[in-house]
Amino acid sequence: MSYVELHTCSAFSFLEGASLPEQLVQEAALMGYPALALLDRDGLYGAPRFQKAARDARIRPLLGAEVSIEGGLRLPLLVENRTGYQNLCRLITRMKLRSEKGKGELALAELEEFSSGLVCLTGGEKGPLHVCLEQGDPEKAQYYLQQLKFIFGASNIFIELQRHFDRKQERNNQFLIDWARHWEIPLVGTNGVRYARTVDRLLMDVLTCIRHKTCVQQAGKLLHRNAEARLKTPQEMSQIFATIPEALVHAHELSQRLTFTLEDLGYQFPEYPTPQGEPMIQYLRRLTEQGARNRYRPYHERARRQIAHELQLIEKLNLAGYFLIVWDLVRFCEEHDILVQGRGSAANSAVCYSLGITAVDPIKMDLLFERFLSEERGEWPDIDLDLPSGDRRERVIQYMYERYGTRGSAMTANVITYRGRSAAREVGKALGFPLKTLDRLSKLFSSWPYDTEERSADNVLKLLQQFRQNAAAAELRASPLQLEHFLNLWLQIQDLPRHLGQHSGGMVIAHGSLDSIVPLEKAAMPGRVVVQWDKDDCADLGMIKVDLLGLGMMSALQDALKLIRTSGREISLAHLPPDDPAVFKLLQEADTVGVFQVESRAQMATLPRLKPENFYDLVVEIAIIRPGPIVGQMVHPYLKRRAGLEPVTYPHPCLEAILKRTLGVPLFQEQLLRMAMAAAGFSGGEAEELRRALGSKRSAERMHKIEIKLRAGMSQRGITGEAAETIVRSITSFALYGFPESHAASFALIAYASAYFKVHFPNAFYASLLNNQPMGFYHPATLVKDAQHRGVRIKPVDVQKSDWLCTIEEDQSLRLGLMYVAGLREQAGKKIEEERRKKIFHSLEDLKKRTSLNKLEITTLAEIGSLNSLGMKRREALWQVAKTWRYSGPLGNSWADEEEASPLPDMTARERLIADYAGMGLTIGPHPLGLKRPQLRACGALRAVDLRKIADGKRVRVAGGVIVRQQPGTAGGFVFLSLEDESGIANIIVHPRLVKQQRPLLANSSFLLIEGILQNQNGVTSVRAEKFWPFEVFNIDLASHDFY
Amino acid sequence: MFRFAAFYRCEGIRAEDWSVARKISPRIEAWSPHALLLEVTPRDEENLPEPLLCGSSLRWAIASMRTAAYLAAQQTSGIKIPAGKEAPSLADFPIHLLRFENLISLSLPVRLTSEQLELFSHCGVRTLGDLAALPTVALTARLGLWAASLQKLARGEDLQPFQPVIPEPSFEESQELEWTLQMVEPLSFILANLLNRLCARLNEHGLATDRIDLRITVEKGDPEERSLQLAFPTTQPKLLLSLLQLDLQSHPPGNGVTGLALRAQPCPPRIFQFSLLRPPSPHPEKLSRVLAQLETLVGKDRIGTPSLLDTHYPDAFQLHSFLKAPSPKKRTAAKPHPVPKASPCLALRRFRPPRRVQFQPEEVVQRAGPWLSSGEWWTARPGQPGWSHEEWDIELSSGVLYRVFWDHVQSAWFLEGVYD
Repeated sequence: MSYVELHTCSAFSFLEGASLPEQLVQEAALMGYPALALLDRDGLYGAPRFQKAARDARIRPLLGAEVSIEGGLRLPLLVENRTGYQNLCRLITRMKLRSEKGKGELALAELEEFSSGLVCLTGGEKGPLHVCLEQGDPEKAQYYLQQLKFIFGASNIFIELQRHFDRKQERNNQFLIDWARHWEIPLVGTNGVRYARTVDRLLMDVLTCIRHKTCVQQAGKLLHRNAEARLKTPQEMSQIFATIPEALVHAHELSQRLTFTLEDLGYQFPEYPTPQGEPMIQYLRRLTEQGARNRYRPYHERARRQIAHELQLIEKLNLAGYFLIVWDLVRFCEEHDILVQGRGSAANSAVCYSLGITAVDPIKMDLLFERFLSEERGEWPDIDLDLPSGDRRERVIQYMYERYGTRGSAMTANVITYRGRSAAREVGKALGFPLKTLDRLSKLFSSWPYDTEERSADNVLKLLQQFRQNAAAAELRASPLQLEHFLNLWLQIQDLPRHLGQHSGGMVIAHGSLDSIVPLEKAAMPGRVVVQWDKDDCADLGMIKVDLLGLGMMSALQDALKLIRTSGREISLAHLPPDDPAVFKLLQEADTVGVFQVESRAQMATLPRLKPENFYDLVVEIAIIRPGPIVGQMVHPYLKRRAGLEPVTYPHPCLEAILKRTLGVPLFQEQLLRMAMAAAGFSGGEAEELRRALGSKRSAERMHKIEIKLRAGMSQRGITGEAAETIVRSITSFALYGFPESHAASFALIAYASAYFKVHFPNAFYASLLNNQPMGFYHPATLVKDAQHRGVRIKPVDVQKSDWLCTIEEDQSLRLGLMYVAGLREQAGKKIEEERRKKIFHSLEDLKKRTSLNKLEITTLAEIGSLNSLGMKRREALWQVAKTWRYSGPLGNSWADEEEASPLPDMTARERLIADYAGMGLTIGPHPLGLKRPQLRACGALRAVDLRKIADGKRVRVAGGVIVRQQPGTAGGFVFLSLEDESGIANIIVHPRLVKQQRPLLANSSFLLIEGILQNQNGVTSVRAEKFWPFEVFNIDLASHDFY
Repeated sequence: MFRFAAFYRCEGIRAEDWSVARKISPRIEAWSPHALLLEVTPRDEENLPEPLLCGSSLRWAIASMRTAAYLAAQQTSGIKIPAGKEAPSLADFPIHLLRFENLISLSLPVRLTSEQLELFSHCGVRTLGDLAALPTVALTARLGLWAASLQKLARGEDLQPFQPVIPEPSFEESQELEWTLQMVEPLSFILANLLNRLCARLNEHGLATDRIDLRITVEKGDPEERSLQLAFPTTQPKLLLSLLQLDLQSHPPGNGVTGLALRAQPCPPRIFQFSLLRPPSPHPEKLSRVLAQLETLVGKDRIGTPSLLDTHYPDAFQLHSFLKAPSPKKRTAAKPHPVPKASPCLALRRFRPPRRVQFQPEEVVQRAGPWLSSGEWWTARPGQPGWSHEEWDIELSSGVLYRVFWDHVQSAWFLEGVYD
């Protein structure tokens, strides 16, 4: 006979289940289950994935949740129909929104309001009946039983029996069997599943320890008594319930009643209220027409045709409301002076361009509209809006909440999973490893050495060997047995949900209440509500979302505009002169520190070779330095063809039209889709499948299937051999993410604008970058030096002149803001600003009296020279601060004001430098390496700027502060360092062999002297390192950006 | 004219450093856990022992002020500061020598914290000379009056009088025997004498003892060392004697005894007060005696207060010392677990430890189970349990009810108990 498990918890019960929904479904399918019910704790987090996996495995997915009831009890509720589903969502939402994050309980009385369409089981060891029996109160248990029967109705309550071969449990079961007969409530047999297989019990124990913050050696009875809470075969369940066969019969009958699936969600996109009550499509047409006449001057025929075609499709797919909602958002932003730009595939739409949602003309750029929207896609379009990060973006998000209500809109979730180091630490702690071992273990697990993507037995064996070697080298104090347990459990815990975060910008909206579609809960950020599904789950279930993404550069550009306008000059981003030669000169020389998307080491190494001359070149530049083109080996062929060093060829003549503008080399995602259609005969739907496989959740298995299809299709068309290999490699390498062309174009607009500002308004450019940290590739210290190299005068922090933010003074110099004073609270800084506007400070005592500065803050201000304008040098200021702080009040004031010469010597240049770095993390004085140059010269070290004059292949030495460390996943273990000295930045390449030998040195040294062979080709210089020597510079600890 | 020699060892003064110091001077101050200050004469200065002068991690310095000698010894070794030249000699030494952690044992009103040291560093005050050169009034105006003391220390001046250590009394008694003793009983007379003298000396000093160390020198082999740890301090020689006798009876010396030595660990005496609110408990001395007798009979590991272990392993418990048992956790009165109406009540008589058994399956008339439990997988190879039991309740043809279990790790049947 078959069996249906009606009570399963997955890992989405967050530390109360050890298997993912997919793993449970797989195991259930192997056992021949016709259906399976998923009941996670207080949520439907795993429901979309469960549904998808169950459909693929041809198992009927049944849904429900274990809800928390007052008294620490749990009640499993199964969904019978759509009403029941909606009720469950609302019930959980009510509980979650009124409680602290991660907590919440319902009162029993609250269930009645939401009981329709739900079936109640009495639960397992945390259910009310078992808990009352354990407390010695059978009367109370029967009271609960009667209450539940009353709330749900006689036909919707079942007494749940679980048999895990536990004496205590079975003793309680005898009561339940008696009560079932007495109260005429049917029994239903379940196995209270927490994991798929017996072997998963170990992981379950580890998760229990993590939950209770203990280790296995001390967890005692917190751990399960045995490994019986797993999925069991129908035969096993039949044997277990041999004495009460009706329990399984009832389970089967109940499963037949539960007919709801997520395909029946009832989701509706909200309608947009048009001003004159006209149909939405009509209003959309009107707005588009107006916008198009503004954008296209003249409004040419090609644009008209394209817009008409798009609107026709929009009308057919009934998507007018979606476009109007996004247009409304953009309008809100414009009205509130918030920069906004649509990105992603929306840039392929002329309607979006006309509505002002995007800034890229898709007709001019010949972008593929079907990449954005087509009938075949079978899913909603996806419009992402780039906004300035920070408060401005928050305003837009709050506008969404206001407009659609807190129950009508919410952020999408982001499931944080166990990965890498954090997983190593948690598992190690649960296994009782001492602290030192934990520290060393977690250091072994940086993001790259242990690839868990492929979990085949061979790969696991290789990992085990590698791990053992590294563990031995790290001198871990753990036995081989402990390490083996550790590694197995670490592998098992990868990808298991740890907790629910919120996606940075995805928002879903619904017609009516969103909380009847999916449960909502509070996000960690106040004022935010999040759905229990991530954006992929929402997309899979046909829910429309809008991504509101914060870009630091957008914020910087907005601030720069404000600064420029304050100085009396008028400028608009929309009307920047295109193709400014000075901008392209900057780009060609790779003088791009601070420029959006092109400031990385890899970009700087490519710019002099690609030599962008126009906007499209910039689009290519942005798209080319991505893992997709790099791994697909497309970068060098493109650059060589561009330089005329190799002929432009095509893998096959049928691809010429697609690849012509990128010189025969595929660089964009759309090109790959078109290649698959042209070369392998993929239909639109198959190309869509390819696009999804290239989407965020990549799977080696999926890509492999596509490869088979590609080869078969090409073979049919007579494309074989090298041509076929090139095409397959191009396409499959995009599994490592290449850019869609429209996305690159949107980014190129921002990159161009930032480069334009750097060239023509450098003061405002650097001020706005400094005011919007953290962002970008470089630390503020590097930005300051770059600004000074460009001739920007930077003035120090001064209590008489500085605002909280950096400002531009009348003489166009950049005044550093108080925000850069280490340890200075924003409130205190703004108070200085406010008081100074009333009247300048006439003494230290006056400053102290009128502001709320504490001793540490004023000491730091003194040390970095911010009090110099009060007539005191740094040391003198420190001396006075010490006295001023000691005496306060009327008596002390007279003592404090006494004139007294400072007995302390003035700071030397070196001491000022140390004070600057300690107090601000940067300096406007000489670069530290400048003061060390005589010693470095004696060691033979050249300056970064001098490397350009040395011939390729020469052995050189160079020294500097390590400001960037990178180990890209596509670089095969190479590490790239950026060393900064007083003249600029030198690029260093470190071979994997040396990385292994010198890892601690490379990872921890602030300053390095490096010897190696210079590469000086095509305007790009770098040093292939062979030897390293760390050195100290006045005990300064340089901040670096590390990307690995 | 006396001067002062400072001995400094970074990792802490050792016992042998004290021995060397005592050979040089009888007046020694324990300046800190890392330093000793010796009052020395000019002759002592000239006669510093060789090991001290070369190749040792023990540093030394001599000056007319103890503070100057101490600071100098931290920084360098073998320096003799002429009288009156303390301040200039110390001028180049780093200011961190005066940090709080360095002077904590001196109980001085000087608190130079790391925050203040950092401020000094930022102000360019990095040496003792820099500190000493600052105007005192301005300095005290900024740090407080204690800054004046700090400056004195920077100049090597003493702030407190010399406080030499007075040696502690030892409580040891011993006796060498003229002939070898084989029997335990004669040893008791000797122990009684030794204990009487020890306890009398303890009483003189107003002290008691909670530990007696006995060293038995034997004819052949190494001396035997035993310790008697008492639950409470006492000066009762009779009690101590009876406890030692019990110990000797249960563990007689291996060979003929040629000498006895006793050492008592001194401690403050016990203040004992009866309580009106608690029930009377056995007299501690009597209780100790009885427990010692029981230990002699059954063995040290088989007496104590049991407490259940937090594990699913059946019947797991551990024994704590009766006198030092953890106090029971306060429990609210729990209701007894309800029993289904039709269930009989049986008692299980356990076998501790469970006994390995064999039985024929045909002997089993009725059975109930299995009840599965397992755990401690982290002590076994992956895929195997640390322990794993499959329990059954069986009725044999003889009519007796047993609880048995199959141990999956040992692959054997065990008898856990019989139902009564």
